[in-house]
Amino acid sequence: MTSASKGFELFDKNVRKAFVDPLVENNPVTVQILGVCSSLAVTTQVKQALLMGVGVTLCTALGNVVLAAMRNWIPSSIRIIVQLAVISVLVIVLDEVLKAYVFDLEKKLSVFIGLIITNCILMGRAEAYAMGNPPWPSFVDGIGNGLGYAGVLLSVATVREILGSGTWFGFTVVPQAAYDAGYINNGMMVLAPGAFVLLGLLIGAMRAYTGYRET
Amino acid sequence: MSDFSNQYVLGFAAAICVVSSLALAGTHAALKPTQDKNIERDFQKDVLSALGLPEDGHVPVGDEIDRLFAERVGQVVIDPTSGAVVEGKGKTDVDAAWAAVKGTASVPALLGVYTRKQGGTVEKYAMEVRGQGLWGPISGYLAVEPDGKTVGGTVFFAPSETPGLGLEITSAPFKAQWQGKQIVGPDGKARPIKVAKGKASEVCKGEESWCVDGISGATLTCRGVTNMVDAGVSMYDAFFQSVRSKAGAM
Repeated sequence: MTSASKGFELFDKNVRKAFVDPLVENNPVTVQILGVCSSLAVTTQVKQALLMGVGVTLCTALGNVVLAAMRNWIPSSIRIIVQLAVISVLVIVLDEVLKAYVFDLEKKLSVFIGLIITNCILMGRAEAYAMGNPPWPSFVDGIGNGLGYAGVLLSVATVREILGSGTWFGFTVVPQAAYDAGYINNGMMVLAPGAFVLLGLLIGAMRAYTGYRET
Repeated sequence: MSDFSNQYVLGFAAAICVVSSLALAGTHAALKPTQDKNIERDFQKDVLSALGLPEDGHVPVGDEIDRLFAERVGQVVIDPTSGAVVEGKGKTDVDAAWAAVKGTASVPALLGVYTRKQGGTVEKYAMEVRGQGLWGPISGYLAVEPDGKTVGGTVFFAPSETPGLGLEITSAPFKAQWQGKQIVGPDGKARPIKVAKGKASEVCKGEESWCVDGISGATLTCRGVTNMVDAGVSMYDAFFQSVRSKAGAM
């Protein structure tokens, strides 16, 4: 609430921190270990990971805005269910819009769009940030966390798609000559265990970089 | 924030419910026509792809799908036992017949055949097949040339199969190898095409016309395709017999 009382500044320190922190330092996936389920499920192909990342970013940001705007009127006894209702509405609307305008991709992501509702990042940000901050910083916080999530998804998906299918964004990157010479795609990469291993390595690497330790 | 009265809490919850419901109902109502159009075009695009339309192989979008489907594609509904065309039935009747035998090995009471027309002549027939993959249902269209014997194109769908493994049955290289295969044996009887476990040229020596390469790591999905095509070829056999006899008479 302090930033609101100090007067309105578009990119003051708190807002910048809300955006930059979740990208690496306090990444929702690699540091807070939230949203792991979908990080494993939709990272076989970069295209799906990108759409999922954009979807989560939009829903987190808009959900945060709506909840931050209502934060002083939401009774604390029912705040969790109110957060869930707002998030659900946004996700279902997103799913409907995708069905109407990018039907083919929506078909591929199928149930995972609906599962954004249960993505811990959305409720985590709503509860931890939007309930105590004005709409604008909350919006930026949502964008930052969504991008932090999308970044992890895209990194994992890039490795999985290249090693598992020999393509990136659907374009062939492993030349036919390599297959002729006996190279084969790594089948484990297209299955969940491949994602577990990669995500584990990524979490380890990011934590080594940021020096984060579980307390 | 804890000094709200019970009445306020109840009222707030009710308001959230009403606003949410209105938002969802409004979105759904507004977008439903576009979504239905997409679903219909999706189906039409699949049929066109199996029938090899448009001829230059590009993927049609939007209005082009509507136009091509209306101009070049016909639908007949057949009775699987006699192979005769049933008049006055459409796609909804066929879908209902499939739904009625879902999960059983029975043959639907009605089957749909899509035709590619040029002027008055039929250039290709596409039969609809449905089956079971490893994780969920698979389906597809198998197109047959006017001789009633030669495969002229396929599309497969595997919404639940693993990307990179079972889902590869929907890939272009897997589909391309069906082209030119036969659904009739040398004895003139229906003979299905199977997906080999390995390379068709090694596993099915001398019988390559009834065999396509399998996908390593997707044995169970490939078995599902084999079963689906097997069932399809026998279900539509009566119809294609009449196509063959007509083609022979010409």
